[in-house]
Amino acid sequence: MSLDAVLQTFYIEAQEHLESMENMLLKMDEGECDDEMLNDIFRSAHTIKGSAGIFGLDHIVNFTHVVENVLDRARDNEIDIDKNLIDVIFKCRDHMQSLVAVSLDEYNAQTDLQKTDSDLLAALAPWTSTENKQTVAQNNTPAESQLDNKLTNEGDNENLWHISLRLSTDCLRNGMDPLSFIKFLSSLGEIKHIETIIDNFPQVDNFDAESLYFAYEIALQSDASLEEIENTFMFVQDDSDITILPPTAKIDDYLLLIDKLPEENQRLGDILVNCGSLTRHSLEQALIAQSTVITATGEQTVTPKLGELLTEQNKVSESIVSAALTKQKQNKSQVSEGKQIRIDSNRLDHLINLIGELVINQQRIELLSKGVKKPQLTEAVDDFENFTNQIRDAALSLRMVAIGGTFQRFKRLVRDTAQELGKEVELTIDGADTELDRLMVEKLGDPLTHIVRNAMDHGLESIEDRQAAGKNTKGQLKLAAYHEGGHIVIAISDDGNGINKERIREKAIEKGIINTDSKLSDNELFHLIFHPGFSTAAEVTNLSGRGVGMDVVKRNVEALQGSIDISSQAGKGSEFKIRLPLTLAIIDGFHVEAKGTHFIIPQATIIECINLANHQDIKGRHCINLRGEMIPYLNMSEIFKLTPSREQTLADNIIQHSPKRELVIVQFGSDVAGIAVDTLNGEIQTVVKPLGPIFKALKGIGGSSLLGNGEIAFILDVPQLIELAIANEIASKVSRAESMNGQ
Amino acid sequence: MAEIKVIQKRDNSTEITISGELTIYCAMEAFQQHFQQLKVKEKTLFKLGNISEIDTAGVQLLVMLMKIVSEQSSSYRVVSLGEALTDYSNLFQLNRYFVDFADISALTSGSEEDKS
Repeated sequence: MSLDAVLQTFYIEAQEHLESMENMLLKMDEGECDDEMLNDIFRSAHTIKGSAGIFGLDHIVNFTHVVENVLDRARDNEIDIDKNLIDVIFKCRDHMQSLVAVSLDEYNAQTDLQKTDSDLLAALAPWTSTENKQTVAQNNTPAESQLDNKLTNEGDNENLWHISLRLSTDCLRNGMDPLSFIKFLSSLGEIKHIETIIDNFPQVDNFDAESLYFAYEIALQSDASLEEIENTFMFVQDDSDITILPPTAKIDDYLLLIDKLPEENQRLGDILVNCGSLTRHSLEQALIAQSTVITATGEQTVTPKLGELLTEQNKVSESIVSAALTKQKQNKSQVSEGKQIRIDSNRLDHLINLIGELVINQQRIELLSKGVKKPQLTEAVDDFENFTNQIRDAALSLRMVAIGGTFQRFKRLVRDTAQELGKEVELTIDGADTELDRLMVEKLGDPLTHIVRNAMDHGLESIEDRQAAGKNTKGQLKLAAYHEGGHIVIAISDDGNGINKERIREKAIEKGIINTDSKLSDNELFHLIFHPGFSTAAEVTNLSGRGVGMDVVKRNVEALQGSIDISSQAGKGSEFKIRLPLTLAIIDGFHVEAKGTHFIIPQATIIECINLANHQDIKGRHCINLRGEMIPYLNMSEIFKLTPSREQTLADNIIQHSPKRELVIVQFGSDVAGIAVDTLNGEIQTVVKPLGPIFKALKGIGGSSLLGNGEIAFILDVPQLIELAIANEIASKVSRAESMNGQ
Repeated sequence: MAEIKVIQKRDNSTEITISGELTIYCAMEAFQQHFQQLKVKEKTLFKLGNISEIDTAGVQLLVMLMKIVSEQSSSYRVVSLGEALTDYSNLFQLNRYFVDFADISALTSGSEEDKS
């Protein structure tokens, strides 16, 4: 792992710790304070500080050290955790996030960060001890200052850990100096002894000045947990042999360690005695017994391993030795294999793109095989298709992430916004496990933020207004995610005032968006808030009300092939429903043709296909009666003004009749419409490719795809088409009514 | 970047002076240029007082250097350690390799350079 990669891991880990800190602080802010939460926050701060120390990021270490000390005092019940302290810790956490984002040089160049540093340290002052203030004032690296003291101190041997380090020879080359680990260990406790072993130095001709040859045996007196000590070495676990023996370790654990290490037993034993980890007496007993064993017949045997010997001497049971060895193996395999790996998202995107190409090629082979008509080839092509589908699904699932992480971030936003507005708001999260394509999750952050802020600013009433309305003073805000008909729905609801339809109408007329005599349904009226520059807020706050945002929200959601529905009841609240496709990369589509042009309809939106010839249009409109339900439809050739190609005209002339007309019934949300086409070609895996800028203005087309035969197919934007079909139907109804009135 | 001088003296001793930053950034070059083929006389003196910065790669290089010197049956002494090396040596308890013999007069008096 290179230094850049290790640093990247540090940033990711730090981000995770900061998120964890935020979640715990939010819980504490809600009154759920217990020791474990405090420990979690402390551990997060501690790990960030330690890891930053390893990389020499002193600006993070210095600031976090003070925060950590305050948290430690709270853990020891030296100070009480109150609302004020939680507020300051929240701010410190945010500042730590800013510090993690910059290098030491950048920090030194940014006076605003340094000012925030001193402001927050001053804010923490009431909770810090004198000792902490001195540490900060001297601007020492805490690890270093602690180290200087601790190495000279002599104390008792309680809580004495033994750490045996045989680090990877590439350690230095990868930018990791053992110096950093020792400094960090010293922040966890008191280093009683370090033995630097030079036995592994090669001959001069084989010496590589960038390889690590030192090995270390360390005695550490510390109250830290095993996990905390292990975390010190998280960046060098690969290819390293690290053994951490807890204070409770028995003599046989040490003997097993001696047995395992490459150095000579007596010498290692001496080192352990020097470290204070073993007594001379216990070591000698075991080593004497381990020396050459003579059998009863006087024949010399192979020197047994210490573990075996201890078992023979009945000092330790076989099961313990075997368990210890198994554990050692497990530890090693856990370190080397790991249960999770981090992958650069660009690599994943590249994989998905390649699979897209694979899908296209598979379709091409399928098409070619149809011409050959060989059963064995058909069978092989079917298998190929089956495996391609499985690879596609598996690869796409790699990019799926739970929406919970995004939702979780809103807890903080809601808390801060509520404080700013002087409102009481409770956020409920539902369906956090619902998975969505990572690309979409990233792009959803901003739209959701706008909606949530609007709901809190304009939707939820003030405490007084809620009291007056007989409501609980605490407003309810809910974020939910769930699957619905091949889509993901993200619903943001509140129990506030609801959207004031009259105000929207007045404002829309005032802004010239609609006429005074415009008749709009509730849904259409609500959708006016997505109009650029539209805002009904009487007062512009720094949160919302500027009319900038909701139009961006709609644009962002539509860019994700999604849509937004709004429902609202006066005095009871509102709900925004964002509907999104599961993924944007490869979809199951339905291949249709109109006038020789190929189209793909996303299969998740299709209800059924019918023959249009069997249904009569209602009163000359593009609308049919399907089992008692009025279904408006769009004719693809009309909508896109398609003219048949020369080949198509020729083919039609040969067949001597126009192609039969098929109707694909599609649904999006609660709306249903039909799409009239000439030919149904069947299901197809569709690799979604973005449209060029020339097609951007074209309504009803969401993307393009390459067919197996090399032709281009347009992916229909079903929500837009349904909207258009319904709008056309309303318009034709109105014009028909007007013409009847005219008569 | 470290500055390294190897001086062979007429009194059958070798003086090795290292100053500046002895870190991984120059360790490889320093080893290959100055130490890989190093030949020392009966006595070797290390002057390390002007090492301004040292890391583990630098310390390993010094340990290797002492190993090379020992293998040529040369008795060696470290005169002047400097703050950086002293700190490192204290931290990792490497004092047995880097003992600072402050009084070097006995070893150095009357010595003259024969080549550098």
